[in-house]
Amino acid sequence: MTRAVDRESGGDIDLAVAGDEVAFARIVATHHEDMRRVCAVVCSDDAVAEEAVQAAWPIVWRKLDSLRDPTRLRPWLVSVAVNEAKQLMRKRHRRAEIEVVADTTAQPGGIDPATGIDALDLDRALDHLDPDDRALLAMRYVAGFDASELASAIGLSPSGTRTRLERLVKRLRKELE
Amino acid sequence: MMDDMKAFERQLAARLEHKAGPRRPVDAMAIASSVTTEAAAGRWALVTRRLRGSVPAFSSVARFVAATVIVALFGGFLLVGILAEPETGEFTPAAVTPSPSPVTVDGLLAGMVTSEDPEHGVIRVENDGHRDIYRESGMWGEGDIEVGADGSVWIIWPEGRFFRLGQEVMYDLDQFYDAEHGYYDIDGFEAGPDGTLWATSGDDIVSFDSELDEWTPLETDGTLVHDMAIGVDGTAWLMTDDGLVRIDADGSTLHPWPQANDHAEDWGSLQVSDDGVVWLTWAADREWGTIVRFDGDEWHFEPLPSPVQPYVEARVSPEGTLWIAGDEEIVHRSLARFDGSEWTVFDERDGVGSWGGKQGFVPQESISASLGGSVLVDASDGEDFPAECSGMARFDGTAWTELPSPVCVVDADTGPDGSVWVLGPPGTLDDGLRLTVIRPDAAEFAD
Repeated sequence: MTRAVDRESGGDIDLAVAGDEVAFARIVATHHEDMRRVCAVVCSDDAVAEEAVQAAWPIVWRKLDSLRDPTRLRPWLVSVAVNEAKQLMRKRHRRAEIEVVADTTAQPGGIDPATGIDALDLDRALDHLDPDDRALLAMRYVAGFDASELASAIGLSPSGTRTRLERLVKRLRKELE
Repeated sequence: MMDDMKAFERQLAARLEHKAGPRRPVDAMAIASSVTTEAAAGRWALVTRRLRGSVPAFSSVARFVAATVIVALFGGFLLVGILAEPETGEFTPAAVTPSPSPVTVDGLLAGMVTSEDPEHGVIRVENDGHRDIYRESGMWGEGDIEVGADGSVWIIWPEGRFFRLGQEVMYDLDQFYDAEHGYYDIDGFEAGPDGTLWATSGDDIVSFDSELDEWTPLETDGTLVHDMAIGVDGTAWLMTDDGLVRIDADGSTLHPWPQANDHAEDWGSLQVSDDGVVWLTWAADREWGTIVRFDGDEWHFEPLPSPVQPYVEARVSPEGTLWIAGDEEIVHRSLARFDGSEWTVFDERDGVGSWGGKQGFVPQESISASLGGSVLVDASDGEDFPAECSGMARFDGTAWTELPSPVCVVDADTGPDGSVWVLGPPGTLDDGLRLTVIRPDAAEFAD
C-alpha cells in the first residue's frame, strides 16, 4: 500500500519540482492529513497542528528537489511538519504565550479490560512524554510507518529505531502498572 | 506478558488515534495554489538563486583524486604508524585522504560569512564570537555538540554535516549516506584531544583531523562498532561485537569481552576517565545491568542499583565519578552516583522527578558530569523547563541550581576548563533555521 502510494507520488514529485501545481496538489491531498494527525499528537492541539502543516508545505515546495529518494517522501513530509510543530511549541513557550491550554484532543476515559489501564492515565503519561517520543509513537501507530520509514524520519538505523520504540512502549507500560 | 504488551499496544494505538482526531477533507488545490503563489513572490527564492550562481563547485573530482593520491603517498602522522606496525586487533587505516566534501566559506556579506550548499541550503556563520548557523528545514532530529580535551568544539547535524567552531568550514559525511534507505547511518561522534573528530557507522569508523584537513577511514573487518570514547591522551576505545578495542599510536589491540556476549541487543555506552579507566554500561538490565570497568589489565564489575535500571545516559567525570540518569519510569526518574567504591541514589526526595506532587527535575537525554562532584543535567521541571524545552541544571548531591539559558537545550558538553557548552535547537528565523551555541562561564554555573 505504502509502496504504491510512493510510486504514484514519485511521478508527482518530478512534475511538482518542474513547477506543476496540480501535481503538488495531489501530493498535498495524499499526505496532508497524515502530517496533521501526527502533529496533533505531538502538540495535543489541533490548531497548532494545522498551523504546523500549513507552515510545512511552503518548505516542501522549496525543498522538494532535494529529496534524494522519492520513496522516502512520506517520512520526509511528516518530519518537516513535526519539525514545524516543535518550533511552534517552543516559540509559544519562549514568548510565554502558552497558558494552561486544555488538550483539544482529549477524549473520555475508561478502563480497558484487556490491560486494566485507564485511558485518561494513558493520556496523562503521553502528555508527559518528550515531543520527539510522541512523534515517534504517532508515526508508528497513527501514520502506520514501518521501521524503515521511521528510521528515515528520525535519522537512526531501522534496528536502532525499533529498539527505541520498543523501549518507549515498555516504559509507558511500566509507568502505568 | 507478550499478550499483555500486545493488548497495551492496541490500547495505545487506539488512544493515539483519538488524539490525532478524525481525518478531514482537505482543499489540496487551494493549499497548493497558495504555496506556489507565495513562493513566486518570495524573497527567499531570489536570494537562493543569486547565491547559487556565486558558489564554487562542491568539490573538484580531479583535485580530490590528485590530493588523495598525494596525501595517501605521504600519509598522515597518526595512523600511518598504525598501518606500519599493527600489533593485534582488527582495526587498520585504509588510506589518509583529504577531508570529505568540504563546504568552503565563499564570501563575506554584511559581516557574515556566507556559503551555500546545493543539498542543504544556505549556511551562515556570524563573525562576532558565536555562530548562528542557518539551514533549511526538512530534517527532523537535532544536533550534537562535542567538546574535545583541547577545547575544540564541534557541532554535528543528524544529516551528516559537521562544523568546528573557529574554522569557517563545514564538512559532510556523504560517504555514510544510505541511499537505499534514505538516511545518514551514523552511530556516534567523539572529539579527540588533538583537533580530531571520530565518527562511527556500523562497521565503519573514520577520524577527521581538522588541523591537517585529513580524513582517515579504518578498516574494521566487519566488526560492528557500538560506541566510542577518546581519552585525554588521544587513545581511542571502541565497543565492538568482539570486545573492547584500544587504538593508539602503536596500533590497535583487541580485549575480548570477559564473559559470553549475550547482550548483543543491549549495547550501551562507553566512557573513559582521565586516568585511562574505561567504563562500560549496557542499555538493558538482565545480567549485564552492570557497570564494567577496564583498567587496561583487569575487568571490574559493579551492579547497577535497581532505581537506575535501565538508564537514560551515563557520564563519567574526568576524575572518575560516574553519574547515571535512570529511566525506570517516565516521570519517576532517578540519578545515581558511583565514586569508585559505593553508589548513592537520588530520587524525588532529592528533587529528582516527581509524580502527583511537586515537580522536580526530570533528567532528559543529556547529562554531563565534569564540575567536580556535581552533575549537569539536561532536565525539565514542568515549570521553567518543560519537557518540550528542557534546560540545564546542576546537582551537587544536595541541591539543584537552575542554569538559565536563552534556548531550549538540545545537547550539552563540558570543556576541559569546566566550561559548559549548550547546543540550542533549530529555531525558525526568516526562511531558515538556527542552531545556537552558548558557552556560559564556568563561574556562572558554579553558583
